[in-house]
Amino acid sequence: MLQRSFFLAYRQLTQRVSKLVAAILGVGVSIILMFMQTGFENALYDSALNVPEALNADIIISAKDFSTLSYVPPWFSRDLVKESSGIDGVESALPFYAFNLQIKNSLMTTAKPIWLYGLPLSGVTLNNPDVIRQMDVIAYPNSVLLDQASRKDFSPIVQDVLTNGRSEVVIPVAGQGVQNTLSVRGLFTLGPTFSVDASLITSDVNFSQITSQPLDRVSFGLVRISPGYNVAEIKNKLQELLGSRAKVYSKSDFILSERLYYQKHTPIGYIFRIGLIVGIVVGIVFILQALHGIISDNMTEYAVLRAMGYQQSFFWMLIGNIAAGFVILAYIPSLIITIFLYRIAAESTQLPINLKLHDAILILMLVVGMGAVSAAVSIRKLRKANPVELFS
Amino acid sequence: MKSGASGSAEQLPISQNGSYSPVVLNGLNYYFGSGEFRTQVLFNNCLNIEPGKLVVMTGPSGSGKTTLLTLLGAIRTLQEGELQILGRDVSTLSEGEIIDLRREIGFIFQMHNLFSSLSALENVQMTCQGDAAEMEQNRSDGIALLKRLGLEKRLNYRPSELSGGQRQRVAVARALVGRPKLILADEPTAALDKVSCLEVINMLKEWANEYGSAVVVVTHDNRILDSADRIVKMVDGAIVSDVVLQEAIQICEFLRKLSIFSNLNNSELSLISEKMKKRPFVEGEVLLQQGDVGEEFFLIRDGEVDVFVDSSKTEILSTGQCFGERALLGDGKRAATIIARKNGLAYVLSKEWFLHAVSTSPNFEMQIKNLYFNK
Repeated sequence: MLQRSFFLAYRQLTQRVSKLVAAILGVGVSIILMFMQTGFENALYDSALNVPEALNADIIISAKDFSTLSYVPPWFSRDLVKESSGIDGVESALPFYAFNLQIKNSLMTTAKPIWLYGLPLSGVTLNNPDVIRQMDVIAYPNSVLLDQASRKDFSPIVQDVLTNGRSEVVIPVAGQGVQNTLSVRGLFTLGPTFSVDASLITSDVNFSQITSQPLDRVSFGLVRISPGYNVAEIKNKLQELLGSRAKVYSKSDFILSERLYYQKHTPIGYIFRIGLIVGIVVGIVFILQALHGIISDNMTEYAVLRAMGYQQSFFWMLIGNIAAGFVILAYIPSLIITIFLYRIAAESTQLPINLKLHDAILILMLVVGMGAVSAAVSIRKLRKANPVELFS
Repeated sequence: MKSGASGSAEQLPISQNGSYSPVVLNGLNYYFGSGEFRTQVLFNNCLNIEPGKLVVMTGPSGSGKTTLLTLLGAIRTLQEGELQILGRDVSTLSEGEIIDLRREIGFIFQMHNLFSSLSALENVQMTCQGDAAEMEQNRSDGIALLKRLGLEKRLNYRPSELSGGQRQRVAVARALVGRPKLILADEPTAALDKVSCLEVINMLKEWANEYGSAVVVVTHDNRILDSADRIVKMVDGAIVSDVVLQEAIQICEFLRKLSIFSNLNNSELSLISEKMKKRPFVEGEVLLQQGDVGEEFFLIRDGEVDVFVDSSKTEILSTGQCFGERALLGDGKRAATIIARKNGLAYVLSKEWFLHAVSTSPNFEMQIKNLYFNK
């Protein structure tokens, strides 16, 4: 029976090619819309998580009122970091500094927002090979490394560094002319976020000078634990030690917290989800329209099937197969187009817009679900297939 | 003459000659609409269709033929009366069982209604809902049928690539391939030329003879009447005549050989034959009693009867001979007692129709009266 329904579905689906192509285009647009929403949403989260994921830490300490890395993190005393290193099982506890600035160079018309990160030279705080390799470079006064995955506005600087080994940027202050000149003496790869176009990395001392912030005001404390110790246990001990003076996260909790911030506390995640829902609704409408078209075209034939003694289950299978045919025929080209569009978008924004297998599977499941919903709605139309009307 | 159809409310799922009947309907009424708009369209219809026969159902438009056909196909819901299809009482079947029942019925529609996206062979194969082995059997049967219908070079053609006659032949093959015991056809030849029409109807006739299927054809097409075994006529929602042609011809031949009917023309003879009913009798049965009031005219089809006048046996009557006519025309009293010598079958005409025939045929009336004046 399934084989029979599959065969008839295939024939009815492919009988009118122009209608089929029109329907596939419509469904395909909705699938691409869903892919773009998902891709952009992932890019938002992934770009925001570049730095948290690169932190060389098992446990992260933040100020008690810290909520997200979207903004300059509130500072807390470096003494808390030092205090943490006294706990049994803590291998190292290092400070990490982060600040938001605007910089420009002679080739840029306006200043652009960047993140400036300050790293202590006494240890590895960022798991980035380029940074680790160039720790001696950032020890020089006013020396910084620039993220070569920054947005295109920073391409001339990157090019300058690649060509001449260094480039200069300035930190403008309104009404005071040029305040500080930084020497970009190396590159690393991290990637921008949605809101910030580039990142600079320097030593903690340079960071202090550039931002005029004392070194005992740290953004984060990065704790490595000794082999054989349990992260959760050490985290609890640290939280007990620091009490209400600071927050203590495991690294995975920190990353999750950052992701949840975007998902729950900003309109961005909500907007992307709405976009996804719109894609689903548009897709259902197109599939419904196409199914209704096919059912209307073949209503007499369905009445014949009823007269021939085909049970309702056959019609479920038939319409289900037609709907499945629609979504699969629409999904495959949509996937290919999506890969192409992702590449264009990633190149234009420097955001990590990549097709992930689980997203491809998720959207395939959503599309199959759309087909199932459409089939369930359309099957009601089949009630009009009355074999009595076959008789003159 | 009347066959299985009658006004009797005691129809059985088997026919009068004891064979299985694919269709038995009794006291069938049907209504369209509901409430104050409810209109009766079928009135107390009774019919018993035997296997192996091609039954043509005819009558003016709006007479209820198609409504009756859809009831026979279990496509409409039974409202009033008894309906047995292929041995099953439709009134007791669930919706699923009714759908299953339809699988055992072959349908042929006026507009062929083939699946436009499928080839001729694939259309035929759509009737099979069984497993792989059944499908393979269905496929080979389908090919054989299409070849038999002259479509061996069109097996893979879609309906749009076939002529009207070829499409209808595919539709016939589709209806026949499962060897259903009941085939229902709605105006199957209406859109066909003479050659195609004969091909289609001959195929149905052959199939009925070969596989014992009962074939019911609703039609206005006079070209197919010659092929019918039986013609059922409907007027205003009721079966008004039900003629088994072979028997009617046989009755006419019997009547023509009787001196009292020898001068009747074909039309008059067929009128009489149409109104005659079968009546089986058994050995020793008293068919007429001398002195009783005469109500029926008898024509012996099979068997023999003894004639007794005043307790003396005067003669033996056998196949093709008649009795009972004198009382209907004379003083109304039976002049003899008639007792069956062995089991047999008689055709019986009621006094009402006998006198009706007499009154509408002066030639006939005069012959009979002369006959009895001269006796």
